[in-house]
Amino acid sequence: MRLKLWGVRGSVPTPGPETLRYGGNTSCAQVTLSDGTQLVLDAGTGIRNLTLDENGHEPRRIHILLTHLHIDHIQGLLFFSPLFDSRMEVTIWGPAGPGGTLQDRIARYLSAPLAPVEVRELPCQLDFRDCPFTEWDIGTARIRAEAVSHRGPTLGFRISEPDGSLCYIPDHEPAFAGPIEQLPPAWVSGYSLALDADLLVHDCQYTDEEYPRHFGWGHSSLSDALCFARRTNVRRTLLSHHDPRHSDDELDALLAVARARWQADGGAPRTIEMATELGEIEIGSSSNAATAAT
Amino acid sequence: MATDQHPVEIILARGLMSNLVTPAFLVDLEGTLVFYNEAAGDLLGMRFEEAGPMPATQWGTFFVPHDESGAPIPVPELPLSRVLANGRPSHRQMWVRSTRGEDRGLEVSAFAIVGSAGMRGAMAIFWEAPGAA
Repeated sequence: MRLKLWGVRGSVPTPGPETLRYGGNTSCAQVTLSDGTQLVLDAGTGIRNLTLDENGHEPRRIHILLTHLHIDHIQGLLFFSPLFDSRMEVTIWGPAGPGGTLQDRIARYLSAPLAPVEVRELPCQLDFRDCPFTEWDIGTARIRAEAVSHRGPTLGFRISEPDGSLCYIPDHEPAFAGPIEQLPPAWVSGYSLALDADLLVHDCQYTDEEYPRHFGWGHSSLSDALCFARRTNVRRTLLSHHDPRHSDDELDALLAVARARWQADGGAPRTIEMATELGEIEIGSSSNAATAAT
Repeated sequence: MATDQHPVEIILARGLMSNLVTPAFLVDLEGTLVFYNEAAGDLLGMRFEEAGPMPATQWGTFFVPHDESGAPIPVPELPLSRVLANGRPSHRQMWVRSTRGEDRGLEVSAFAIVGSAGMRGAMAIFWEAPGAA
């Protein structure tokens, strides 16, 4: 499968010269499965730029998997052109939760006065489904969704094909339940979801210095993100959901710290990276490892 | 892949309980005592780190729950057991015996922990009954 990142910023879009390299769009990732099936993970503002027909083959069916319904993860829905194409079949998967069906909850955003279009007016063939509590198949992938520690009902996803696996947990504060280093695995939120994944995309919104002021906000510090990656034995980690106040230069500095710490703990420094908008990664090559394509 | 991970609702309940000074118990759907907090450890005379997880048949008798007359309270009648059996909150007065041999009078309130996938377990909070110890 192939991963392409269309938005890696947390909380709110951050256009401007200081965020050009890592990008300012909020969470969105495209996963192209080995059979060509298209999955879209989250619908932040990055989804507006997402292109489906890069190889001249435009799919007619898309699955959008939402980790949760915070605005930075659904804001781009209204600007996703396939929703306005009557030939498209779009299934939106998301967390079950109080407050109505998934469609009802999304319609709070996609309705007046917040939006000029109602869900029922979207021309595509649209289908809403709660993510099952057991694994299910889409195309050639097995999907697993699991509730993780964040504010409100929030999922992490594991997408597995026979030769590779991706774990996507962009909003996650496993340390909210206690120091990750000291907790038994059964008590670490997201542990079994990420265990031994080829690629982990994980929350790293805060520096360690910033985190105490934001404890309980649902996001991770650098140290906690690294600890989670190490304990779950993932092959490669993309640190994501960048804080909107962090400039490209600050993210460069954070990456340098991350790699130094990772190396000090016995890891290969280049297996830790900052998620970057428009970055692409092939997962499940013949070497069964995640490899950077661009 | 590990499959014995606790649901996030139970993980977060443990996080909450760890920060309470009110004694509290946490059980999973099977009734296994998966955690009790430091305040409960003080009450019972044994920290959870020493006691470890216990099935209901064990924890339900380990701390000798009994009524005012000293008669043992059967495990199915304990508030946590009643919650797991019918999903409804449960409250009662009871006494437990600490590992130091002290009888402690308690008010116990238990309630279900219910997430999107349904009931995930239950927690009980203990208040020492004034003058009942």
